[in-house]
Amino acid sequence: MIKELITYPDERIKHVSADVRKFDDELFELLENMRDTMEHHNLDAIAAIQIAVPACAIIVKSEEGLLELINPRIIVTEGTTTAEEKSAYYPGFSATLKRYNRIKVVYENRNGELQHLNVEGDFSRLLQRKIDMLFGGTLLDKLDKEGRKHSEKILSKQALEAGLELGASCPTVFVRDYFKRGAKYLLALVALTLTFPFFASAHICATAAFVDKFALLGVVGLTIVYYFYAQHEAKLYKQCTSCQIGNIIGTVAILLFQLIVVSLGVFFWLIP
Amino acid sequence: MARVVVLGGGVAGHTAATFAADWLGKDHEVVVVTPNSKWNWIPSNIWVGVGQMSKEEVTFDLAPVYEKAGITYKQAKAVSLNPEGSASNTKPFVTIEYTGQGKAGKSEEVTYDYLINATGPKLNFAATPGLGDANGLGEFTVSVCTADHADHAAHELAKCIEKMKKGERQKFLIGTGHGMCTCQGAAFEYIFNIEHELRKAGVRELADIQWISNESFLGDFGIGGLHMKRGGYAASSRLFAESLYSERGVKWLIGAHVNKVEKGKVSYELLDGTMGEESFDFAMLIPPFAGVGLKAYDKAGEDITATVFAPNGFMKVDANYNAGAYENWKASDWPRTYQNPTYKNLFAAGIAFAPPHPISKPMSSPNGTQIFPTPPRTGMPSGIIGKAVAHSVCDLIKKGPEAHLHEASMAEMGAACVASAGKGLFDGTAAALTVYPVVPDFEKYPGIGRDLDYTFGEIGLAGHWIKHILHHMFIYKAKLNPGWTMIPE
Repeated sequence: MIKELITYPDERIKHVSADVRKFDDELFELLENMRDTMEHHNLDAIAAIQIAVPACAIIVKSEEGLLELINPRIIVTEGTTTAEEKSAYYPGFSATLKRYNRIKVVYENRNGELQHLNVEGDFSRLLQRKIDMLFGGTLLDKLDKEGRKHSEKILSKQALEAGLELGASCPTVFVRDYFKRGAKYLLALVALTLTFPFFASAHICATAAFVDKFALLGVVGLTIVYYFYAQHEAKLYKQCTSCQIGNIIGTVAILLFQLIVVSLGVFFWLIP
Repeated sequence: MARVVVLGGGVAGHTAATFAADWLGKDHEVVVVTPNSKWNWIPSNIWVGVGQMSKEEVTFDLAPVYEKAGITYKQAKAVSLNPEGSASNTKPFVTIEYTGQGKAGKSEEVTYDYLINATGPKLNFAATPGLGDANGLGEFTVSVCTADHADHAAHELAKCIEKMKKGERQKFLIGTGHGMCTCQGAAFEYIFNIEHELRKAGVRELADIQWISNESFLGDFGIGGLHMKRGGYAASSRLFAESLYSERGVKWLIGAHVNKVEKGKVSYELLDGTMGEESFDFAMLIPPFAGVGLKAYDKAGEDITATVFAPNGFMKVDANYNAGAYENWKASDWPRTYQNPTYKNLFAAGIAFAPPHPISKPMSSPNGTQIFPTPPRTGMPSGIIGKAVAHSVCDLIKKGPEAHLHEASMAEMGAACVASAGKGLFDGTAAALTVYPVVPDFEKYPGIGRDLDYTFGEIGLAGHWIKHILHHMFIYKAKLNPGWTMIPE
């Protein structure tokens, strides 16, 4: 049966596929669906996750016909090559990336018997791309940080133009950051007044110190608001709550540290 | 007054003994039998192995700590068990042979009411010709399994760095020395710490660094891989490991069973049945683990070792040893109480208990050679199991034989691991990962068997700091300094 082929920005492609443990009718049906979908879309290869089934199975066109690889693993690599690659997951997109040239792959056939393959060149690249998919990886994972960022930008632009909705990944702008920025600016202003004793009169310094005390209270207030609002906001985006909480605690710790340093300056330097 | 005998003073044994002594107080006796005079924080051995820490920093003397805790300490190795006693001794006992305390070589029968077997593994260097023999580590390779081994490794590494400074190329081969090894994590940490040190020494260009292991995919670590959260999804440790190897210029070769070690050369068999050779100037290959080889005898003196221990020498506990093939493995196969099914006053903790089956997918080459990681039972799970077993034993003593036993199944237990990839206050790196549960539960979490809500992973400098803080924290705890019971396992 022809199944829907997952394409960007469907995030299910990032699922880590599980090893196939039972070589039964369920597996045979999956392989049949993969084959039908592959032929329908005229693909060179297909991983089960491309039809949204997180199982370690690949079908690939080889010189001897269609080859089924269950639980494939790359055990030996040799040399690298760089080439432009396309993926059915990212229609209309290509990226230049480095992969191993020659690889040794062990896998099981549909009867669960261990097989192996030594491949190189384009076929090797194709297999590596499909095996990456079984571990939740796409073309972008093979790029460096810069390349990935750049590609993500192109891809999201393409998707938006095509009227597709991007996945509910973590937003890049949070409301809480306004509180953080407010606290930081206020703190920077107070820090600036620490230079007053170098050129201003004692009277001006005393006035500045008076204002600073309120400003510092303001920073404390903003930090508290940030902390609690951020916790609330973090829970809205469940898929990345844990890393957000870590970030929030870190941000508050840094803010408090800066606050202490600036406060010490105000109380022991600005106020003579 | 009851007597609890703990065999072994590693993570599991030390945790079990110290908690048991704390909970039982002065009314009962806790005896620790361990052949070592020092306690060793094994996770930091990799730093000793690159000369970044001294042996003294990762070890301390056990005697004063046990004296403080009111634990009877016998520096001896256990030789055999008589769970029914013998013709001349009505109580169950363990026969020990002293290795120190001025009584080296002398034997003694130590009777017990409850026994916790936490001997850890025998480092089975003899399993691979050339890797070592019955006496331990061989002459061609180094190891970081003990603090002494790691100290020796650091000296050998320093010699290689000297040669490189004179312009000589050196090849480093790190990984597992047999097809059935565990502890890939330690080797993983060691290879990247070496790479880091070579860069620091300015000789990285003259080094070829090669990884060799029995994993079927990079980043398996003996638990079928870990996952790191990334944009709401869990990324496999394979992707993370592969990019780390490529970033650091480390070549890899996996699915390999090292079957012979010679001077400057290892021979191996791969999962596809082919044979190969790899040369080296410096090699650190982890040996496979086996049980320490305790014998067991019944009252009449008949050998009942096969009743108490599994064929690999580890102690049988409440696990399902008849789970069969990979497709039938279940989370419930894993032990919960670590009580021996035959003798209810015998428990095992840490590496000493026999696991029902591996965690990673079992694989064999066409020649029938088994090549896959065996399950790790080290670190955090070891400590948790040690504490649970101590709790059970204390309850059995205080509340009687009907007391409810405490449970700590590795299929319901998470683990945090921090893997160092280079030591340095400002340029260090480590990967901090959590996995839940350690043993995948395919029924509860269909697919990969893990709960991704409890999955966390980061790599960076902060990870290194965490690893360093843990080093101090766990040594502080093991020395039983104030507040030690509050520090988690």
